[in-house]
Amino acid sequence: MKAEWRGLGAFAAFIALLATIYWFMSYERAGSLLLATCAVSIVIFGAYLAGTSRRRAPLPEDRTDAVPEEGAGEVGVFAAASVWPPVIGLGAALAAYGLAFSGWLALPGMALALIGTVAAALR
Amino acid sequence: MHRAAARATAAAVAVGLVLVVTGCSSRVGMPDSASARGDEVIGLWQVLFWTAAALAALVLGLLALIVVRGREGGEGRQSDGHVPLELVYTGVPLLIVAAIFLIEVRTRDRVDADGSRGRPDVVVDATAFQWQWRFAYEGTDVQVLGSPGSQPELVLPVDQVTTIRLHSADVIHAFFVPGFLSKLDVIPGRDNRLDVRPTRVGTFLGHCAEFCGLDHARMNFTVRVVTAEDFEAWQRDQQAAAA
Amino acid sequence: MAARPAGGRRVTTLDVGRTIGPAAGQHGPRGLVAWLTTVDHKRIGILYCWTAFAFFCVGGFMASLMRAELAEPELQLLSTQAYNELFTMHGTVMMFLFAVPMGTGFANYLIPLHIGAPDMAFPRLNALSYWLFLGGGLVLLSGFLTSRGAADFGWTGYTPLSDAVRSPGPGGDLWATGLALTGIASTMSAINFVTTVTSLRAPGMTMFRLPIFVWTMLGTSVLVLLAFPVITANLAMLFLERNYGLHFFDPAFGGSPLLWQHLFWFFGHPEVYIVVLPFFGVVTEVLPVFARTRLFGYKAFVISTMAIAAYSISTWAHHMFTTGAVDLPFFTATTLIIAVPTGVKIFSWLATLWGGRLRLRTPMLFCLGFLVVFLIGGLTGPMLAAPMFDQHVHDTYFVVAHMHYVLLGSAMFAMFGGVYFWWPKMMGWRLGERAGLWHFWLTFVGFNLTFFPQHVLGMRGMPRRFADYPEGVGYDTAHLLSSIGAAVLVVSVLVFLGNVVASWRRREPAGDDPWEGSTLEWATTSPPPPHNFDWLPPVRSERPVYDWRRGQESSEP
Repeated sequence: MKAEWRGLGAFAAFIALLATIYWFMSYERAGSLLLATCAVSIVIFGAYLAGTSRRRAPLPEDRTDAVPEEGAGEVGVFAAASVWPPVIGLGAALAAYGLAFSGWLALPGMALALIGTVAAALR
Repeated sequence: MHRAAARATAAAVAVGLVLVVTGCSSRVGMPDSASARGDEVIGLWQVLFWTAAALAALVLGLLALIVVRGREGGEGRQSDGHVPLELVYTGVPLLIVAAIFLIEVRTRDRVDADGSRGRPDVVVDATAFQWQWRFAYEGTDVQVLGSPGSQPELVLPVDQVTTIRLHSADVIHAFFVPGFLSKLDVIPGRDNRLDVRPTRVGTFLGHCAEFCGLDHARMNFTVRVVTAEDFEAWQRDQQAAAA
Repeated sequence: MAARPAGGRRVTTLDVGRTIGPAAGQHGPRGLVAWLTTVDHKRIGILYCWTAFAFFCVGGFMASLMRAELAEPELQLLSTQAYNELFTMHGTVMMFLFAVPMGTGFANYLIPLHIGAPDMAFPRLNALSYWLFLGGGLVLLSGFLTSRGAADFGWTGYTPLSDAVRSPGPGGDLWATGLALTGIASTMSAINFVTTVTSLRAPGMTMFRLPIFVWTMLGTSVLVLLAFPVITANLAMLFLERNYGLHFFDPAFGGSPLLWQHLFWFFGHPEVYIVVLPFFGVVTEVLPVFARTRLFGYKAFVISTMAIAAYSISTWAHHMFTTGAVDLPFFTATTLIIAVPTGVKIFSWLATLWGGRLRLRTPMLFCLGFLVVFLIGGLTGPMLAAPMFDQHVHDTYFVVAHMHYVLLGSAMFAMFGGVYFWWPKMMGWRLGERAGLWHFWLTFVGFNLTFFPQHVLGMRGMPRRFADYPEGVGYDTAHLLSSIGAAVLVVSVLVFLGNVVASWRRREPAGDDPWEGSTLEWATTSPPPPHNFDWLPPVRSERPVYDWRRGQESSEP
């Protein structure tokens, strides 16, 4: 985890520096705001990773001497197949299509997408 | 078979580069400049082109060497890096781009210093609309309006500074004369000005260079650069015709 | 993963030397239904690649029509309106429905295999991102069916041209909503990639032992997460302005047309790196295997990848140098600086090849071809970074040449390199080498013939997005050459398709490790089982399979 949040920290610092330089060189609001919010987003992500890594011992994948046996055991349960992604996808596509013509036409698609999402979450 | 093909390609590329370079004269593909700014742009382009050509020759040469020397069979070199070399090939490109930056800034400073900013000899209001141009000369009633089938012609005096004020009646267009080697966008709600000092007499093609809808490709115009006396004579004729 | 679904598969990471099959409950759906409901990253990756390739053919067909039109002055084949729709949709399809999804397809297939994981962190989200991509793409293209036609304001959608007054009709709205969907798809994929790489690596697979392809996908994913929300917001604003009377971009009401450009390019410049970075990763995987060398400067590859990603966020307004509204020195500097890590990559690839024993098979040829075309495209980049030069060639064919050299150069050459390389792993059988040779040379010649003359065309002044051009002003020859090149490219793609069909007929088995690869995907069968690995070698470097093979050879008497 350490490499990840440190890299992100450097990234965020770099963007924040650029945002500052850009603002004072140009006083252009759109770009400065975009750069600033970009830096903040990276900090949020990096902070989460930093917090998580502090709370755990080094994982097998972060230790250079780890052997495959250490990762043995159940990784998790993965669904074999699911019909809900195509259903949600179809709903979203219908919604996008309908929205281009009129707000009302988007509703059936949105409903389908919502049904699919709820069904997928309940599984 | 692959090696022979690789050698043939390397040879073809080398020949091609030689042809490109010698066949295109010192301007290396750029149009003949007709403006003071254009002369500077061509100078900058020559620096950029030759730098790029040298780097290309280096990399392609190394690549050709690698292909020709690296015969198949057995293990290759198992190096996992060499920090001094890596520093060199990081540092040298850094120096090159720093040089390009400085040359660009100096070129632009020279162009800005030249051409009497704020004291133009002629001021033209160029209005772009879907899909034609109107050129109006400030301080006179002279106007040139294009129409489908009739390209508008902007007449300018040689060796004098003209400020072209750019106005858009609708969407974003751009005023582009390849012979002057520069362009500027025409943006609704924004006051853009292009200063140009033509350096030779002649007729030059102009284009709209920002996609503006259906007949974007039909918004061409011409710029006719004439001597100062001819310019005044032309203006007098136009004024008389407009009256 | 709360409740255990019926029919789910229990997946275990396995010990060296012991083979444990998947748990009971593998009676899943078969055939077409299996593909429609799959959540297996390998199948999703294959779906992505084939769908992206289909869109590539669609975009390529549009380009062929345009090149046929431009071969000679005077309109012959297409109306101006048709031409304008074609270049708009060509750009949109190629950027959003081909280039990025093709990289996503490779990533989907390879990332779990490269890190020794059984699947992605969120398999159903993965499937969903595919269906949203397909759906969004179809919504985008459905504009062609409407009476006013598809979007026709350029893939960059500049306002005020793209507003409801200047571009009425549903085509533009379908463009906005369809693109938003594909953007959501990409964002979901990025979330999946980052989480998977962060949490599902095999023991010993530290960050600095990851294959470079995985690093490039990490950089790409971070860029997607930062850039796509911006374009989605921009599209939403455009949609609201077109349909609900808002005035973000309308100067008559205090809005700014330039706001669209800032937001678009803040996304748009990282977007082009989102396109090329995965392909850099592909090339970095292929070259050492076929040169039989070790990657030169692993850390340099990682740092330059991350530097390119980071710098790309700061360069956006070099697309706006001719607006008169942009701080020129800032963007000149940031744009020039990004040439440095890119140059480091090129030199690192050369250094990887140096002293190699090259096996010039099709995957290697395509990657060498990539080096040549990306070099040319990469050299015109710093030229365009200089506003004095850019203000002459902006919005001309010079830029078209540059962008096709870097974007299509990487997407096409590295894509085919990767396709020929990983095809045996994905399918279990090889693609023909002889036809591959023809394919490569036709592509290389066709590509350069199409795009090299366009540099000259642009310098002479030929603008972009022109449905027609005046005769006899110096544009004619270059256009004709370019169109001939395009025809050669079409033939090259047909040769590829022919190769696929002929090879499928033969289906000569490829084996687990036909190329003597270095990374973990070559440690499993071709194609891999659903849970990817029955066995994992220990991970002690960035090339575990190479180490394992060496260990086996030296331990043999």
